[in-house]
Amino acid sequence: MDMKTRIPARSGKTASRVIDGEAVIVLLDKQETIVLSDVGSRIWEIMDGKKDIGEISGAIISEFDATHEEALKDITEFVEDMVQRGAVEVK
Amino acid sequence: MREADKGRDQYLRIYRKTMDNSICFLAHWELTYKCNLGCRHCYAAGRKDGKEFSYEEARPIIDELRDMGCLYLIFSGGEILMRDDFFDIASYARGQGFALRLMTNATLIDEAVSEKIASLYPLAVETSIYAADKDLHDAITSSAGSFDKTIKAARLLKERNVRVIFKFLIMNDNIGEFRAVRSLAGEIGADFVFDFCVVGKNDGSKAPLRYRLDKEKIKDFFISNDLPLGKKEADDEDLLCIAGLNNIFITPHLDVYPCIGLDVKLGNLREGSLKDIWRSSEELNFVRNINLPDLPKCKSCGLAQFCFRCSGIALSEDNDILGPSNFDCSVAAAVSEIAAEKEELINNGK
Ligand code: SF4
Repeated sequence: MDMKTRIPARSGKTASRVIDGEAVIVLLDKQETIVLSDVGSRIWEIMDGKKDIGEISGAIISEFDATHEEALKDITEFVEDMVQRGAVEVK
Repeated sequence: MREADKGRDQYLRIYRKTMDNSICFLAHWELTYKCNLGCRHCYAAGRKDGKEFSYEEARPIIDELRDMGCLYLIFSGGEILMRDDFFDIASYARGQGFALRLMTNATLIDEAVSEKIASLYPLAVETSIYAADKDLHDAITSSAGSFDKTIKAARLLKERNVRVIFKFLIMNDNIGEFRAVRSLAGEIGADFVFDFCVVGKNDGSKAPLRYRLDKEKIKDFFISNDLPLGKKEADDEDLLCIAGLNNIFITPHLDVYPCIGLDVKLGNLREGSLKDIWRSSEELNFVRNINLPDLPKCKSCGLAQFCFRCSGIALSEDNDILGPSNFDCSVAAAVSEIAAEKEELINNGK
């Protein structure tokens, strides 16, 4: 399946807040906390369970001056990592 | 690329930032003064006149807290489950990205309620257990059957993977129950914490203080249970209270305070916004800016390494927010005497 059309969403088992551009995510069932970097935080903010990875990468390209390939690769890796941690679910 | 960094250091850095930059990261919200038990020492027994907030009033306050950067919400009472709209409030807060911690006597939690609580994924459900002897616990809560109900609820929650914390408030007549309550927590899979800080009522009454341990009893307690003494590295650590630095307290009448224990009213959310109080309250700024040199006696106190001074107790019992809290002085004296006795034994090669 084309990654671009997949829709990532924050897991219902998380709580989160963006503090000064840094997302703090609490994995409630694991009682763990994750702090994301600036790009990760921005992806987390944009990720509303409606936008697909292609749409998210559009926003990241313009905000972080990245190429299309870079953005897509970064977002895909981010999403996979976060799925593994239980912070994100992908539709 | 590995974007996520779950390092504890990163989290502590952000936490520090919320304190340094006055970001309201945590709010403690007392949802109601109503309670189905009648704990004889309860601090919340006063301040009952007035209109408790509605769900409609709660939503914009939760939104405001979210916009201020608040991540953690502690809900307490009274008894939070006495509110018919508790799950409306809690679900709304979860929907706004908050992590919840719930303080409840747990007696109203049956299977269905435990399911609903589990679906909120609270960081913890905290409940007070006053004794493993059910008659003593029920005598303290003035409610026959409360022990059985609370224990049953704790088991139901644990079965649903909810973290449960048993809080043991040590008083004159339940001090002997410490080990048994700790074992009970272990058996159920609950965490266990203890405290001996019985405080006065929120209407100014000092009646509950008669249940408080004196210095000698605190000493006996530490020695007989062979507990670690909690000596700090630096004198000033924990002498300064963090009330209002990155946290706030809200009552059922929507009065705002820096902390549940610090009786300095900052405003009311029916009269103004939380953001305005947070930014502009003179009282809050005064509390936030108290530094060690401002504490005339404590700043040069020889017991400071053993002291966890509470500004709220200093104010409510000793009438000076900048002065010593005599209760904390007695705890610090007890602990330092034990430490000195232990050191002497070591020096004597025993
Ligand atoms: S022991 Fe008393 S005087 Fe000393 S630091 Fe603590 S509260 Fe202040």
